[in-house]
Amino acid sequence: MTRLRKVLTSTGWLGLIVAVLVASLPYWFIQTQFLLSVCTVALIFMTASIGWNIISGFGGQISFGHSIFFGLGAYTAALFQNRLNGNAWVGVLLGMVVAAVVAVLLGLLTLRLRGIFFALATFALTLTFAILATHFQSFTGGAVGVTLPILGNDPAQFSFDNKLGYYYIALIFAAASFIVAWLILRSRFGLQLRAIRADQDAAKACGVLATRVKLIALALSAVVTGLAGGIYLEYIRFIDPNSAFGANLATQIAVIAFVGGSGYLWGPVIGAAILVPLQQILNSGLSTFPAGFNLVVYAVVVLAILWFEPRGLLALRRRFSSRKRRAKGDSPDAESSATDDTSPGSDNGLTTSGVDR
Amino acid sequence: MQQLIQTLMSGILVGGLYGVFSSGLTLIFGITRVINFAHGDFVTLGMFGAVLLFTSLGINPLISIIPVAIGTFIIGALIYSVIIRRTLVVKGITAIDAQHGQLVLTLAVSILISNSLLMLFGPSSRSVSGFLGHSYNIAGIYLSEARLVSFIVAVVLFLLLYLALQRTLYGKAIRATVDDRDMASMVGINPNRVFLLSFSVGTMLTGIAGCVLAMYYPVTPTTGQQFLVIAFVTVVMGGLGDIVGAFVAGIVVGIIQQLTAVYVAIDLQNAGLFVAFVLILVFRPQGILSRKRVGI
Repeated sequence: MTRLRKVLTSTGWLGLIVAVLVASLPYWFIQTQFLLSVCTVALIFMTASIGWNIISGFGGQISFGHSIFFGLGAYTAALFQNRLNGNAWVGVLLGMVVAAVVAVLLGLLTLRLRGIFFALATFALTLTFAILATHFQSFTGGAVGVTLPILGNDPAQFSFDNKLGYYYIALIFAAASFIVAWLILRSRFGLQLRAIRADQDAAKACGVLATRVKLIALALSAVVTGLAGGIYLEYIRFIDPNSAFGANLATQIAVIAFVGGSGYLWGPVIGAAILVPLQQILNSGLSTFPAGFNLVVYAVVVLAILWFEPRGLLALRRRFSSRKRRAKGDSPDAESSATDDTSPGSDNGLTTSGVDR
Repeated sequence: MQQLIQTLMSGILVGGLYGVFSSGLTLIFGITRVINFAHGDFVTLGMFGAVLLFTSLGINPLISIIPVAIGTFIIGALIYSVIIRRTLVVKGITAIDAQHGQLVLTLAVSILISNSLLMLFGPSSRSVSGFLGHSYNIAGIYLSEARLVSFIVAVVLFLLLYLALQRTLYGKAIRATVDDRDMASMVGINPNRVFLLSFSVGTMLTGIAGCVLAMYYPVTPTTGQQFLVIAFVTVVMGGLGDIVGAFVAGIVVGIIQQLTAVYVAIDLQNAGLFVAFVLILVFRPQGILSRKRVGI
């Protein structure tokens, strides 16, 4: 019971407030279909980025290929529905399974690589998937992509008349993914993952089975991102090789988490809440400006945030708290060791005190 | 047989330029360990430089090399000192966090460059037309004059870079930093200046490669994207920080690409390359040409 209270006081209250707030948004803030659509897309990318955060944030294995899992989630569902006339929900579920299986296969190959080399390998792999999806047209539909028919209001087939339906579905899955990420972070497994981020060799020396932990984390991460791909498909009802496996999506999933703060539980949430609406509104609002202007603004915003704090927005909290502590007159040594506890997979990430964030 | 020789020749000719911009990347990536996602866009900048100077002032791309080199050198120096350097001086940042920050910052720079070009010049493809338009027929094998000249320029550039690294004091400082960063700073080499120099020279070489490439390759604001991964493939294949390796690997990559395009399928020419890249990373991370073992 005390444990439950502790859980609620640490992240729970904040989470509960945010959840209630976001769930009620359509009734007091989002009055137009456009805003509802922006928020739905934001929630979908939030889910994808929460998945990314499991292996790349908590585990420190930066992936620039999570679009593989997003794309597989979307493509599996699309092909299952179009070719086999399968149920949409089953298709999304299948997409998650396929993403997990491919994650394990690719992980066996690439997780031996460290740091930036893992990032490069995953980036090359997602571009390979895009090329292959374009080439094998008879199976995937080629560059034209796959379009799902519009079915009207049919919840059993993941199809709604009202955008509100999609909004709540996306919200429920984003919240579920957040809880999964939170449970992982709190668990012994999450601690092992964070230890790998801090220092893989030291973690191994402490008895962490690094390869196995990373492989499981990648699979879990792929399942969550694959789910996001599935929801995206059902909402947009169209997928093509570029929007599934392209470089833009691959980097966007990572950039969202980086801007919020990679490795922080709330990082992808904050990042998606800022970047996706920014991008969506720029895309539609600036149509009078020459093409490219919207992405210039987007790039400048990302540059400004990361220039100011390369670890992402949530790391600012740490900076301010350390400034406050300095004002109180603590010694600089005590400050640095105390603040490091709150950083993701920090240098002394093996202490349990850093887990409750 | 004739087709095979023709394929090999075009692979080698285009591979020379791959070698030059990959040498640029190996200076940046191999020395500063910055994953420079904007590298492909540096190629685009060089190409646009050549095309604009040619269409507006009628300057021959071979002469444009000089202004393009100066321009891209300054851009590289600015990007390093304003953006990359920033990640290293934030208080209490770990090396890994700094590297991740650089990754995303260069990505944003890439988006910024390609979309600024799109905004200014539109999406249409531009080229230097009518310059070195001949092609030679040697025993049934066609060699375009532009490609031949660009290959010669690539070799000359590479030799100049090689000599500069071997003979000048700055070159020696760079090589010392590649070999052992800590030891180099212990003997009085300022790593910051080495990093700044490598980044700027790397950007400059890439810009020049783009400038020469523009002689036969049309440019759009997003042309650079396809060169980004090619450059990384080449650098890893040649061994990190290895200039000779990067140049030779550039030619190998050019040949692999052409062979896949001719004998497998033209739209798969990069897929084969990327798969080869992942396999090389996994099984020979020190590069295919190097005998040195590098911990990755």
